[in-house]
Amino acid sequence: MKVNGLLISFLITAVISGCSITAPQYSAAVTNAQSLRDSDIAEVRVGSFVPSGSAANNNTISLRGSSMTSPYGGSFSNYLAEAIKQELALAGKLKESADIEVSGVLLKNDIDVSGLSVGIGEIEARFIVKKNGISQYEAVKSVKTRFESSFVGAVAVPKGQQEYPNLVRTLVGELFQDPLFVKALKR
Amino acid sequence: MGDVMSKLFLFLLSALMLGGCAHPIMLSPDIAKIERSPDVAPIDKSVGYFMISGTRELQTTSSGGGGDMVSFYPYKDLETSFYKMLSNVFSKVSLLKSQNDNEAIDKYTVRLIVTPQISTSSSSSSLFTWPPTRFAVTLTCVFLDIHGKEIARKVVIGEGQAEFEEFKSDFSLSARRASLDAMKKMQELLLASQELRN
Repeated sequence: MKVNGLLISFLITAVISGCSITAPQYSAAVTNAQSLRDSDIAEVRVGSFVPSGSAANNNTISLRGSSMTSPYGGSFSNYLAEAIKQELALAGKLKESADIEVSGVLLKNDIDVSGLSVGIGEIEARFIVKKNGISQYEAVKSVKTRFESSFVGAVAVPKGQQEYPNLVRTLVGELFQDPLFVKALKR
Repeated sequence: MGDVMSKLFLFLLSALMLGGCAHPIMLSPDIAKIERSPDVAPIDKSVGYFMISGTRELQTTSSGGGGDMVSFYPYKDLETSFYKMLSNVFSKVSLLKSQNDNEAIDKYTVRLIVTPQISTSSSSSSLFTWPPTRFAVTLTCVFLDIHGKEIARKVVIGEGQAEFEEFKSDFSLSARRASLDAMKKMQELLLASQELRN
């Protein structure tokens, strides 16, 4: 019986954790939206976000043998662009034809669930604000998050998968709290 | 002795592999799919919402497949979609720290206060995979006036289903579908409510 149980367990583990998985879609933070809405910024459009270097892990992030991909065109730099879009949209500040544009470069991007009890997320990006093509703001923002993980792969992989939007939300929150960034978005 | 150690090792390995693992999932739906028809006018009122203290950190565990359990944070996962749904229904929505956040109530000229109550259930028809194939979200909106008097209570049940071929790359799919269904149903119910428009 125990051998059968183990076989079933290994089968489940193989089925669930050995395949390609997709990062959860981004979900904007209400606190960010309210802060943007109240800060009297202009309407903004989101330009291109591109990866730079292998540390950007733009196509896949490895989680114990599973490959996590982005739900936004298979690109994690697109994921970051989508995050900024969602935050601005939730605040009512996103406009395709706006003359102020936010763009960026994804520099680092990783979720590490190799630890037995703690996982680590790390992301870094350069953000650029231009108004009518003239640079108003440029800065690199970087954050690191720690989250509860597990020895068991079938727990650690979904935990790492779920951490990704939180990691990006933390980075975006860091950007929105920069008074120079907020100033650059004002008319 | 060796036989005892072997059995102990096997027991511990079985416990680690089979027992007690609650697999994490997320309920957050795609908020881009929560839209209001341009034919329906929003309710011209400023509302404030608050989450009861401690609910964002509330972790819930329920049934998955193969005898396993799933765990999630219903209030934290649903907050953004709840805000988006309310923003489609009312002309202005603001986050309050509590029911008695008078500073924000004054600042945003809040006329109605709303708080969500969420309960969930899940199950699976699968013996071999843990993600739930069926999920339900019961969402209750309790509306208060700024003096704390309850003026309306609305309840909807959102349901979601997903089969293996769909959820193999998104273990939370049935839950996210149920959450989206709950938000759409609540939006429709609130927009049709005459007592909230008065």
